[in-house]
Amino acid sequence: MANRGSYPHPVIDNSDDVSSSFEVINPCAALTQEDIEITYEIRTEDADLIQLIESGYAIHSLNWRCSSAISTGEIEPRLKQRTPTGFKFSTSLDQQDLKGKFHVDIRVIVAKEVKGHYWANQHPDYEGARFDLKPGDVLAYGGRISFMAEKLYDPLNPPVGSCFEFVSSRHHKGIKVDLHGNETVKVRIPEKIIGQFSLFSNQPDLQISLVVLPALIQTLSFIKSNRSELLDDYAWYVALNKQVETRGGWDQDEIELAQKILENPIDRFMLEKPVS
Amino acid sequence: MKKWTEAKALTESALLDLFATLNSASSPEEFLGKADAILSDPENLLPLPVSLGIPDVLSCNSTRGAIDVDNAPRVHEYIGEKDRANAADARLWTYLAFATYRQYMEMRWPLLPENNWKGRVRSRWLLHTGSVTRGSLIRHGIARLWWGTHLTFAPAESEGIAKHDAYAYTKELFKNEDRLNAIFDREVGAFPVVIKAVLDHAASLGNKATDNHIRKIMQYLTLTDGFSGVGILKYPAVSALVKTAASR
Repeated sequence: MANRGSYPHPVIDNSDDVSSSFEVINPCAALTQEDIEITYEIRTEDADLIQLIESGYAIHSLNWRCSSAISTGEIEPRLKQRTPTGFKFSTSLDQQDLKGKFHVDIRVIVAKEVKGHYWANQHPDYEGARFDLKPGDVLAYGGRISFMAEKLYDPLNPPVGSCFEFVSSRHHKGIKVDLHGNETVKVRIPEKIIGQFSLFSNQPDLQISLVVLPALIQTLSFIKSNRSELLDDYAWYVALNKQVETRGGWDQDEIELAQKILENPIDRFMLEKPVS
Repeated sequence: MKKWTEAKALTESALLDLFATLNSASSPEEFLGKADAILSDPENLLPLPVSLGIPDVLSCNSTRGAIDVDNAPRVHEYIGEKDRANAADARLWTYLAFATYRQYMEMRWPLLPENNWKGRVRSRWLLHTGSVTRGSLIRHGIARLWWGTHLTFAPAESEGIAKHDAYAYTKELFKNEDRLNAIFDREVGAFPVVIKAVLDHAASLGNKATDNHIRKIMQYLTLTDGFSGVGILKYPAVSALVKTAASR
């Protein structure tokens, strides 16, 4: 047998513990607004393994680990399709738990206790030995795959961060937008509200939705109404114009554009998982 | 350098300047002086999305080994909950160490010329964007306080040690000097179910839960995780594994 690992029982992998195959093919990660969607296909012909899965004694598992975000988890992927040679899976990982390089281990693990387990194709050196398996024990291992999780934008340096300046002001209710500055659009926020605002520091998407989004909508509206004038002297116009042009141009509603530029903060907030 | 300044973040280029300054500095005084000059330039700073104000002072007066039991929740309350991807930001933690919590850093992780002070700067004061890992986050002087708390914060527990105190697990974590490293230096330590089971066990043992004892348990869990999916197990099963490890 191959000299690898230290499983206390034979496992279907690239060793010769069991003369069956368990291959992961076409692994792919796609970045969406909220998640990283991972898809892959498994090919295996081992009848014992398939029987264990179909009878509920084993499950497919995706174990992910990200050192940079000190996060790890193990989930059962969604079966997309049963193929003649195996299975196609898809699963989503929350972008908020991932940063930089992360790894996924694809395997089949025991779901319910199995007494006296025996692989028909296990290596002859095992001499027909049987094994008692506990939930969690690995039955098949398809290997480790690495992906990169990159943020869509830097929250400390957001796309419109240089365009707006948030200032505390008195004698009015609600936020006011001042478009007269050359460098920045000034968003005036009542002093009392600023104090309360910090209570939501753990929910930046809510803060962005409440203040930045309406200020941006008004600014975009102003630009659309005044595009015939020379706005190139305004630094905030130049920056926002660039953002708009890279997101499909000015022939869109301001509310749609603003949400695109801010990466849909309302959606992010409403769909955010509750703090656990 | 003005002490106890509001939380901000460094720009990426300022962060690299700090590393370059460290390499060329011949003494802690020279390094900190040049670092202060970098941090004093507004061009080198990024405001946080929301102003956090001035934080509460951190103390270094507790008995050795439990210095950070109260400091860790204080940092967490000041910064607030953040998602893990954004909390793994070298620019934030480095600024907090050099500016916002500078007084604490100088007391807790002093830079002494006779010791390996550059090594201490690299492990406790600075974080490099290109090498933010579990190991570096749990060693950095300020990041470790927030991360240790974030990973153990339990505001919704209806029973057990955190029923009446959301920071009960955090306090158990920081009770011993190296418990944070013993648990989180290993990948298996990032499973919430493992954190809870190990700290429940430590709490039940009181002073008998030495760092070596916790390290032995984590070694066993790591070994088990090599052939079994520990992360998919429920709390009773992981708790049983912890008890098995403890009795070996």
